[in-house]
Amino acid sequence: MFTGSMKGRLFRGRRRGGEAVIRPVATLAERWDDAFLRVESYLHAHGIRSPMIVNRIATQTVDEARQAAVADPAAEPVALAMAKLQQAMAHWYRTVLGEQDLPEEVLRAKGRLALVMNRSEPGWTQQFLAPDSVHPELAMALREARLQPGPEVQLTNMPPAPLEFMINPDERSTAPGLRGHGLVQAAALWVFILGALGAAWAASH
Amino acid sequence: MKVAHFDPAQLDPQIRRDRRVRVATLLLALTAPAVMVMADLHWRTGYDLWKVLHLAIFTLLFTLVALGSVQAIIGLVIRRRGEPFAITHSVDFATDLERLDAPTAVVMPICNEEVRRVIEGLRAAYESVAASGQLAACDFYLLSDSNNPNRWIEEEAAWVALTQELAAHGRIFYRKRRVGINKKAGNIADFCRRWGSRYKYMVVLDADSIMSGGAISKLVRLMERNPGVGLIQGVPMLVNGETILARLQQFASRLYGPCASAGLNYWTLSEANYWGHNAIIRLDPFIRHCSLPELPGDGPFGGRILSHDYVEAALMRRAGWQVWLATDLDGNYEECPGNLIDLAKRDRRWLQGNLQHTRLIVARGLNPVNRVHFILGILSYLASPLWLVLLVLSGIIAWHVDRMDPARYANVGFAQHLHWSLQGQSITLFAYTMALLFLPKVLALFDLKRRPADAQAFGGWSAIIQGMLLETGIFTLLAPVLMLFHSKFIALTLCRQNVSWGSQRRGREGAAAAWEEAIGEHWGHTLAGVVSAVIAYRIDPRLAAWMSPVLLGMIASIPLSFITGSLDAGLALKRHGIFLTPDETQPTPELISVTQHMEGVEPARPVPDELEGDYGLLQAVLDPYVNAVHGALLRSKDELPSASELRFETLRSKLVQYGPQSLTPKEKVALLQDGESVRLLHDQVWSAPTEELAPWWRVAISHYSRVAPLPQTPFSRQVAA
Repeated sequence: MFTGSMKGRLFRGRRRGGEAVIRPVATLAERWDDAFLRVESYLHAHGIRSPMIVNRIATQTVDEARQAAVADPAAEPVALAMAKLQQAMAHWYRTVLGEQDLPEEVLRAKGRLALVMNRSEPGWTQQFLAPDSVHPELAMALREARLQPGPEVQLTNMPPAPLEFMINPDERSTAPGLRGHGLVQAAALWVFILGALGAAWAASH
Repeated sequence: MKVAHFDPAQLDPQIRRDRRVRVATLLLALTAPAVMVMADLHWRTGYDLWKVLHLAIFTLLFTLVALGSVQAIIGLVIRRRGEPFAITHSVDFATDLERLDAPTAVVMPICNEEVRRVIEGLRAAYESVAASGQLAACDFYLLSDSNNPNRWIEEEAAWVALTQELAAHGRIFYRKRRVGINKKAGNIADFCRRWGSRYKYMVVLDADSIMSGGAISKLVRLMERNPGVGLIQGVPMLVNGETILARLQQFASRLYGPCASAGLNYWTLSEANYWGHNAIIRLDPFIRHCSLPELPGDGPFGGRILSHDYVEAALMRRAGWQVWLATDLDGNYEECPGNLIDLAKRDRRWLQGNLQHTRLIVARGLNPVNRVHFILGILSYLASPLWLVLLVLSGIIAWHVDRMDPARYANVGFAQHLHWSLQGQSITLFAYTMALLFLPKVLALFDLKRRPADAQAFGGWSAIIQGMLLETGIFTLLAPVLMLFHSKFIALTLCRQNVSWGSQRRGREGAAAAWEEAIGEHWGHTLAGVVSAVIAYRIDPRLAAWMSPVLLGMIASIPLSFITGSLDAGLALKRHGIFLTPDETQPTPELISVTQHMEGVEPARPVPDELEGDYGLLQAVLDPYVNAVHGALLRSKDELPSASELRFETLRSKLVQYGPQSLTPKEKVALLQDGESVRLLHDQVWSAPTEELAPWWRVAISHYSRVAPLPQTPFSRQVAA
């Protein structure tokens, strides 16, 4: 099932035997539309809701990708546009996080993690990929963001408790048994109950 | 009620002994007359093998019924007089207000549970502990064994969101085991091995537990005050039920539970049991003495121990540590299955675990009371097939007796003096059995009579009586269905059919027990009921009348299962004030918190049907934040062998080109456990031209689209065509 937006924008519908057959579009203009939409969707997936910000970044990204396409006309617009967007993001994360040595893909993952840990920071979307410098408080918060799934591990040995499955007749129980006075009292009472019932039985049968 | 200060270390063994003798004596006094009357009944018509077997089973089952009554009688008396030997009386909570500094871990093992509910239970506990001012000493752990990628990914994101909302970084932790060895016990043991030495105590919660900060603090204070105590088990109240079955269970447990648990504590004292959650454990002895060994052999009775809790309590006691039941600990809750089928599923897991304890009864060095706990646990399930056999034997015996000359048994045995007809004697015995069965309910009413405020919290006496009658009626009809379920499960277990440990559905999910599921699970019960009714009627119409509650429950099992699992019917009863409990009429802040957060969640954008099955995978790959969190939580590993790298590369390529349907569940989990694959897939899918993506991914990406679909008009349809 495809949504209306995909039918209208990404695919061209044709009919074969009464059923809609949907296949990807082919023209270059539509491929660039596709690239623009992909960039928009990716920004949207980041939680950037402002149409103006999304539009600004998407337009800028696709423009840069189009320029790059001049040198590499065989390249796919979506791949080019997303590569430009990811480069921009890596650059922004590198500046904000101050991480110079990390590979680009690791840096982007780390940057996204820092963002998710600071999504409540006000106005971060306005500063995201912004050309001017990021607010120091946001930068500090992003730099300090850490995911801590657990404290430092302190390994302890936990050996299985041994179990043996025969009761040792010589074993002294750890529980108090029925010994001494208590046993006599209990036994007397039980004998009385059973004796009374036994007598009733004997008298009747 | 003034209660003397109590020091468990000074508990005189003679007290334990005397109490157990009293319980045994009362049990004998209630059981022996019934057994004798039954023996006489058989004697009148002449003994044969059937009757000997019938009498033996009757004796065993009647003892169990009588034990319930004995505990209720003693519980009522104890609640009136006050229990001088309650663990909770070893600390004066009103004056002991010192800040706790004993490091305590609150752990919640989970496995494919409903994530929202898990998180809200944890949130309630965390906020409540914070409000009680004891947060500094407490850490919280979600220990996941979820193997369903959807649940796993949702858990990770929900954990991060919760720690952010509560500003609880470094306070609430999440651990996901790659391989869920030894189920829940293995999960807890894994925690103990990794972090156990950091803490003095561990409070174990279940996925549906709710525990207040007050309850947690009290448990820690009790442990601090009593260094010889290794484990304290709280008695959780059932809450948040919405279906008839869930509300009925919580009403019954809330009404009858206090007397029963007071009676249980009377004879167990420092040798109580562990129920697996809502308990506090002293970690050092637990780590040293309570790691579960494997049982020799395999199959249903060997291998890894399935029901760990009873065994851990026994091992703790074997090592010399006391185990107590805290019967009056407020702020301690759990939920229950919402429909009969889920209840049976849960029972099947517990049943196999309990049957496995048969071997442990004779394990060397265990305390005799722990052996009794094992036996009672086994009998709680074995009773079902025994009741079934008893019913069948009763039918056979009735058939025999029906063909006898009445003059032969007219005036023999007790009948000589009591002028009992055979039927009169049977009715007397039946009435006595029923009296003992219903005695705990009546005693609970007596107990409540002394607490008018509590009675009001149940909705008043009228609501209580209505609820009690309805609960009794429904349980009477459901009992034979559960009897058949348990009998079948025991047969399967004995045939070495292992149990798969799926998660149960509760509350709203549980209410959705569809007709189809009810028919599929209960058609056999209905058939058995119809056949039994015909046979009983052919033997003697009076026998069929006697057995009618049992037969009716079996015959009507399909509609019964559906109706008792119905959310609408449950809520309708709630509106009419039936099955109300004090936890509903006077909910604690923790219960309110869970309810409000569960109800207050914004409705999510609906997930297209075709994406739903692999939504966890979708989010882990596509969502920039879920992907980052998931990748960060995966253990970094050394360089992979080239064969593994090649395998992952192939899997990634297949996933992108052909979608998740092209991979097996194992392959999907393997990819999700590989950090590099997770990171690469994110870039790969987002950067791939549309025509290189599987249709599934195209729909998935459109799920993130900012542009809403066009409304359908004749023009848009024309364009699409």
